[in-house]
Amino acid sequence: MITLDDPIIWKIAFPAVMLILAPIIGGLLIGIDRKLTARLQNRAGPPIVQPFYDVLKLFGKEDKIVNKTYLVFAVAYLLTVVLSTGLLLFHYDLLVITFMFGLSFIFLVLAGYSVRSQFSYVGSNRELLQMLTYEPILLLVVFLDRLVTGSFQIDAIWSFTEPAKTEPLLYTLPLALLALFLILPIQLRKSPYDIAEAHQEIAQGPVTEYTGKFLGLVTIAHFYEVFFVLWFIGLYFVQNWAVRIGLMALAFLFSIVIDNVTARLRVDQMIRQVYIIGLLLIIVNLAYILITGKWIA
Amino acid sequence: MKTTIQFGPQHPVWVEPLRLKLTMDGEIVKDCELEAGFCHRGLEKKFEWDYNKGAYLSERICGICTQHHSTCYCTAVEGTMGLEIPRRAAVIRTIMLELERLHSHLLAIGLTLESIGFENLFMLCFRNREIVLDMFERTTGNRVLHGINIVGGVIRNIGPEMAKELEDFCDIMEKRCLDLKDMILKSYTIRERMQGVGVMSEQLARDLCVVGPVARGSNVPYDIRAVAPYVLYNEIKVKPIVETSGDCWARSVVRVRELFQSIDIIRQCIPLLADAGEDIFAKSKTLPEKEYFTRVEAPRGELFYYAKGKKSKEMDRIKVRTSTYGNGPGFVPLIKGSHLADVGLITITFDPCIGCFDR
Amino acid sequence: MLKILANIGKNLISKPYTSNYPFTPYQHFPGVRADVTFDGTKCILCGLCQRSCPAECILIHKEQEQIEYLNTQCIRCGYCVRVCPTNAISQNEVYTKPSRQRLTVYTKVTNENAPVIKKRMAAEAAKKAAAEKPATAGTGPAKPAGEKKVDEKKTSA
Ligand code: SF4
Ligand code: SF4
Repeated sequence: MITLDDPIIWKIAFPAVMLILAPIIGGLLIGIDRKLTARLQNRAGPPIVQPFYDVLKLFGKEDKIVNKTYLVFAVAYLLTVVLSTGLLLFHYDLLVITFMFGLSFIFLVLAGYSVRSQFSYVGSNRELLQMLTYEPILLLVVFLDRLVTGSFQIDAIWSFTEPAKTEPLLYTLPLALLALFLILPIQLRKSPYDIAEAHQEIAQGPVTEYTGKFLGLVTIAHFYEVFFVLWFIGLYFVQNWAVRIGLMALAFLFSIVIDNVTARLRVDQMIRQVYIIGLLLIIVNLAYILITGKWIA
Repeated sequence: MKTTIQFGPQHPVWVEPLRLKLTMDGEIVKDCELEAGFCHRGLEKKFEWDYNKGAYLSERICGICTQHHSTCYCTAVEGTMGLEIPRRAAVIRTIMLELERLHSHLLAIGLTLESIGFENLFMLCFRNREIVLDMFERTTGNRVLHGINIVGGVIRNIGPEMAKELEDFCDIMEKRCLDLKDMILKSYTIRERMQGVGVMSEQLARDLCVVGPVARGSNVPYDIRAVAPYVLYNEIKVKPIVETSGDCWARSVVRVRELFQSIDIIRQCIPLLADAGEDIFAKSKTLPEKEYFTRVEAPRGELFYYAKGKKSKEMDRIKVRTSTYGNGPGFVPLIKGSHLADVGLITITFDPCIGCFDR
Repeated sequence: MLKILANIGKNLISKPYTSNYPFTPYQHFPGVRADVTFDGTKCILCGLCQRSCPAECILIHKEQEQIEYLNTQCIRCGYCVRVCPTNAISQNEVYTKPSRQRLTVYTKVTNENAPVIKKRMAAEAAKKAAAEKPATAGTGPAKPAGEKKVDEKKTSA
């Protein structure tokens, strides 16, 4: 007899179900995003399930294959994103998860470099610069998590079976969360930091040459990404499901509103802003946890 | 390693074919080569036919400033046969010219914002432009290619009710443009992207003989409406709007400020309709025989038509020099040394209309 | 920045400006210029409209006594309406529906005052008279059927 309190349910069944649901949730979120953006621009907008229609249509299309490597990288990109989402859901090491997520971007960059398209090249260059911008901030945030929880394991923040011992991360690391919000537009590819996919400048960046099914795979990977990023932010308040989902929704709305009130910045401007503001936030937060002694070495 | 990027002829930032061959060093453009002529249609040769049909043909040179093209053509042909158009026709032409400038500038501002990834304001600009297009549909019967000018006058009258509607339209439009101006001028990211980018110095502007908002953004007060007044502009005084900094920001601000100037001119024209005669068309008694040229201030700058008749219904020669053609060489020195991200922005602030660039 | 935020807030609560186009039809204003229709009972087959049409989309067939109008090629300028001496052409105020095929409209001209028709009828009458001379007088010449025929030609290009 398995009850709701059984560790099996929370340790295996729940993450597995979430992993299956992740692309659907991600797709719906993108659909809501498109609808909401349209409404913010006073348009009617597409139906919420439009991203799924798009993917279905892409799978029905003929493939124009540029070279085999390019396709391998598309699959690798999807698999690494799925893997990092899975690791996050099954409570693996936070550091590994972060690097695995970074690896997925690397595959996208390699895909861009593997074809002879100028826009892919420039897009990959920019993608690398974006990684250079957000990875340090993300790693420092993870490091701060380590400082207050004492371990890189997610279980240290929150375990499925026992109630959380520590207080919510939001109380100890509020500015680190703000730093995460700062790099949110990079991860979700939205204005003002959507420079790698700036279609007015370099067509579609690294994914310019994908067609048909493989573009569909890249799109599905993006669904996973959206889910991953929001779930990561949800870790900041795991004690209460309502607050946790509220925090995710807040991050989501924040990214949409920011997308609508800003123009796209240039690479140099992005690096300057993200580094200065992000590092400042993290240093202040570090000082805060050092002074208040919330620090577990 | 040097990379060469073929920017165009098919590129998302321009809807029209133009090619820039950029030699890159990382993100910085080292060299730039401009190539045009992808949509050359041989229109100047086609003009050698019935001068009445030419008015419709001249509209097709450019889909955005149709009214300016046909006014310029009609004035040139009227000049060759010494025809004086009725006053009411001149007033209607002036109103239409300024309406056209409104919608063209809104389009240009919207596209500029879109090229720096600001979709929200882009949509707002196009929504405002829709009101102007509705006004066009109301007054001329067509949304884009109006077909209201013919040699000798105009074919549609603006009655008293329509004048009232135009006045209401001016009020609505002014309010919306004020909102738009506030949003653009106060936005941090837009200023960050546009200020100091693609600076054209006053000396360079004079050397390259650029026209229109590009010249006015570089502190060259050159506006045909003030320099060589045509239709009704010798009564309605126009003061050229000038910005000094010469960057993308200045060019866009000139456009934003000209929106209000246009609304102001329409407001001044509407009372003139009441005491202009009822005639809107003067029939010509002679055929075109002399030479004549006209200059018109199109939204993108000076537009030049030369017409020569041969005492028959067909014209002998029409020469068109469009404003974008004059501005074309201006891109190249500005793009050299800029970021790749700014290439689209710089070209879009020149408001390139390749339809009239190539003719 | 604040102004933009206020604006998007306003947009969010107002109704969308765009319409659901194919389901809610476009409401155009009175006085729009759409395609033209020919009145077969007024036209005198003078051919002025054919000569003045900038898009060259009117073809007057004097022998068949009909007007061929290439609807999809017409630029809706309304110049033919101005030049027609008998006001046989009128401009519609409803946009043509988009179509996949070229639309060609034939109009049969039945105006008895048209010089061509007058001539033909005179010739017919003469012939008839010649034929009927030996016999007794019959009925007058039958009027040509005046009907409009819409023909959809497939695009060949
Ligand atoms: S409206 Fe213009 S294009 Fe159409 S048939 Fe008449 S003259 Fe020709
Ligand atoms: S429609 Fe008018 S202009 Fe054309 S042939 Fe008939 S009478 Fe002449």
